[in-house]
Amino acid sequence: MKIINYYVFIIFTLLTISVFGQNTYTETWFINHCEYCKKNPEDRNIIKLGDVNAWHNAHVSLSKRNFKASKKYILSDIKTNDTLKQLFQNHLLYALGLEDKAKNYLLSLQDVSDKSINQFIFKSLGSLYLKKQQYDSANFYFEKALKIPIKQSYYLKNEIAQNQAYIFLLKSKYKEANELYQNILITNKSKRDTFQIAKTYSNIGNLYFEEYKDLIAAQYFDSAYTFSKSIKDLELKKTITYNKYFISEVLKKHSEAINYLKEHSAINDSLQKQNSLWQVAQEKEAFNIAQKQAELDIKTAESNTLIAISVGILIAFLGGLILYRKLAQQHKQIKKLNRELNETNTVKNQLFTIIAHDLRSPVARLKQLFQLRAVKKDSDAISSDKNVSKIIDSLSLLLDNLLNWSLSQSDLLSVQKDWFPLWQIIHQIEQQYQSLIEEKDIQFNIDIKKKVLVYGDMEIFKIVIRNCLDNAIKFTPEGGNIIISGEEEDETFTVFITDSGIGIPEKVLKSIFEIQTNKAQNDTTGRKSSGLGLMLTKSMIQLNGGTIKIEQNPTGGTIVNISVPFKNVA
Amino acid sequence: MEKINILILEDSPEEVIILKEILSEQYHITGVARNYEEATQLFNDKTPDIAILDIFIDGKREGIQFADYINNHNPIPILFLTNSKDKLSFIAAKKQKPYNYLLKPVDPLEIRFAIELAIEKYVDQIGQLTTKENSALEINNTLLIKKGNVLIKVAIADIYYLESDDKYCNIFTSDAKFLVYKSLKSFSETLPQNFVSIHRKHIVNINQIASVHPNDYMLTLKNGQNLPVSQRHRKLLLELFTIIK
Repeated sequence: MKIINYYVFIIFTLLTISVFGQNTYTETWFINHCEYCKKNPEDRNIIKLGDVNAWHNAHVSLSKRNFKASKKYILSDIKTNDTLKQLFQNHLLYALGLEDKAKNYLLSLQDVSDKSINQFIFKSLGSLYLKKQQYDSANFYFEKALKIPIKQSYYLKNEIAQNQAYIFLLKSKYKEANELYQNILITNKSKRDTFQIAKTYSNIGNLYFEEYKDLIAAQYFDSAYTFSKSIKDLELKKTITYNKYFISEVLKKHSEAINYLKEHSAINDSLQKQNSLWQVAQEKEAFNIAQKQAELDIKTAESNTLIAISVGILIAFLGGLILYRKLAQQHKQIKKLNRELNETNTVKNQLFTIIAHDLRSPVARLKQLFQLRAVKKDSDAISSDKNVSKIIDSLSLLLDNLLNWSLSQSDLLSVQKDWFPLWQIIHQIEQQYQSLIEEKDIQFNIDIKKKVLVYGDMEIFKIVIRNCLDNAIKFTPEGGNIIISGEEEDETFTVFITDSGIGIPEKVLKSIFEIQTNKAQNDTTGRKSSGLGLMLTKSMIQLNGGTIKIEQNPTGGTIVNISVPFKNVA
Repeated sequence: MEKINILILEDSPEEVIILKEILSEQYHITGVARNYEEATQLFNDKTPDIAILDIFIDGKREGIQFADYINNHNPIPILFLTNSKDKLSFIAAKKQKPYNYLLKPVDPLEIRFAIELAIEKYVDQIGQLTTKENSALEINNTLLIKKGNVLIKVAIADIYYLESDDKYCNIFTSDAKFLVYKSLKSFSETLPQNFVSIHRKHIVNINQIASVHPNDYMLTLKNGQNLPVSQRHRKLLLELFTIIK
C-alpha cells in the first residue's frame, strides 16, 4: 500500500525537489540578498559570527534543511531589513508545513513597492497554492510573478514552467503539459543544467505513462536515467531509478526491473547514510562551537583555572573522541550488514514473485485448456481429466499462495477494499472444492445469512477462505463434516470454519502462524502440509482489517475464527 | 424484455470461446473486440449494458485506456479480466471507478457473480442483486430483474403498471409479468414522474394509458386492460391526463 502511494506521488517528489533541491529560485534569491555571499561567492558554509551578518548562516542552514539553526540565526540577525527577515521567517513556516500562516502573511504583503520582493511574494504564493492543490490560484500567482517588469532569473522561469506543466498534467491536459515540458527541456539544455534535464525527462516520462504510452514513456525514463548518471542529487536519482524499475515491470522486462530495483534500494541506502552522516556532522559542529565558546570563556578566566579547565576539556574531548570513533565504527558495520541483508532480501522476494508469476501463467493456461475441452463436450477426455483437474487446482492454490506471500513481503500487493456478499463468496469456493468434498463423502454446510456484507479486498479474502477450506478438507477423514457458520456482533462478523478432522495439537497451535518445517503435519492421506497457506492467511486477513484465530473443537477437530467488519444489505 | 448486452474486449481467441460458452446462455454478447479501435466502434454501434475488458491487449494497457473512454463518453459498469496478479497492472486500473476485476482463468460461477457485483457497485447498491432472489435494480433508464440465474432488462418506458403484493411487486409490460421482491412504496420513490399512483395497489405509467373513464373509476391501458382508480387518486390523475393529452 505504501509503495502504491509512493508511486502515485512520484511527481510530487519531484515537485518538492524543485522547491528545496539544489539551487532553487528561493535559495538563489536569499543568496542574492547576502552581503557575505557577494564577497565570497564560493563559501556556502556556516561562518563564525562577529561583524558578519547572521543572514548568511540563516540561509545556509535553510538550504541544508536545518530549520532549527536557521530560525536561531534569523532571530539573531540585527542588520538585515525587516521585510527580508519576515519573508525569510515566512519561508521557514512554509518549509515546516505551516502553509496557512505563511499564506496569510504573504497575502498581507502583496503591495510592497520593491519589484524583486513583489516577484518573490507572488512566486511563493503560487508554490503555496500548488502545495494546497488549489491549482487555479497557483497559476494566477505564477502569472503575476512572471508579469513583474524586472529581469527574470533562469531559476524563476524554470520553476514556474515546471509547476505549470505539472498543473496541466494534473488536469489531464496532456498536450499543453507536453508542450511546456518540451520548452523547459530546450531551456535546460541550453543552460547545460544536467539536474534539470534529468528531472524534465523523468517528468515527460510520467506524462506519457499517464497517457498509457508506455513505450514512449520508457524512452524518456531512459534519457532521464542516462542524465541522472552525472548528477549528485540522490533524491532525484532515487526517483529516476524507481521509474526505470517500474516501467520495466510494466513492460514485463522482469530481469531488467530487478537490476533497477537493486540500484534504487542502493541509492535509498546511501541517501539514508548521507542523512545520518549529516547528523553526525551537525553534532560535531555543535561540539566545535561549544568548544570555541569554552575557549573564549577560559581566556577571560584566571591562569591557573585555565590550565585545570583546559586539561579537563582535553580529557573530556579525548574521551568523547574515542567513544565517538568506537561508536561510529560499530555504526558503520551495522549499516553495512543491514544493507547487505536488505539487498539479499529484496532479491529473494523478487525472485519468488517472478517464479510464482511465471509458473502461474502456464498452470492457468493448462486449466483453461481443460475448460475448453469440457466446453467441447469431449466426454472421453473429461472422465480421465477429473484427477488431473484436481492436481491442477491444488497446484494453482500453491502458486497463488507463493505469489501472494512474496508480493506481500515486498509490499507490492495491491489491496482494494469494498463491501461484498459473504455467502456468495463462500458458496463459490465450495463449488470449486465440490469434487473433493464428494470424494471424501464430507457433509458440508454453509449456515450464514445471505444478506451479510463484509468489508475488505474480495480477492484476498477468497485466498483466505480457500486456504482454510483446503486445510479443513485435507485434515477431515472420510464421512466427516465441515460447517461454515457465522456470528454477528456490533460491526464485526465472525466466520467459523468447524471441521471434525484430526485436530491440531495444543503445542503446534501456539506457533501455528509461523513458518517452521518441523511442525509440518500429515493429513488424512499421510501427505505433509507446509503451513505456507496458514502463515499467508494471517497476514492476508490483517491486510483486510480482520483477525484470525484457530482453536480446538471440543468435540474433536479444529475451529478457525475469522473476524471482519460487516453490515447487512439494505 | 431482453437479456443484458455485454461487450467483450479480449485478444485471445481461446478466452473468447470460453467467455461465450459461459455467458451466452444468460447474457447477450453484443460484440467481441480484439483491440481498442474495434472496441470503441462496437461501443458506439451496439450501446452495451456492461463491458468485460482484458487489461492487457497485445502487451499494451488498452483495456484500461478503453475503460477511460467509456467513463468519458457513456459510463456503464466495467469488469476487468487479467492474467497478471501483481499490482503493476492494476495500479493504472485503480483510477477507474467502479473498479472490479477478475483473475484468469475465469470460473463460470465467479464471472456471473462478478458481473452482478459490477452492476451493483455502479449504482452503489451492493448486495441488491447478488444476495436476493427476484430482485430488481434501476440503472440507466432500465430495470434489471433477476429471475433465477438470469438478469432480464426491461426498459422503464415499456412498463405498463406495477401491482403491489405485500412485500413483493408484480411488474406488467405489454406481454409479460415479473414478480420482484421490492415493495410498491420503494418503487414509487425512485421511478420517474410519469409513474403515478392510481390505487393503493397500483402505480401506472401514464404514457401507456389509452383512456380514462372518470365516472366508472376506471382507466384503460393501451393493451386494452382495465384498472380501477380510487376516489382519492381520481382527481390527480384527471388533471395529469388532461395536461398531457
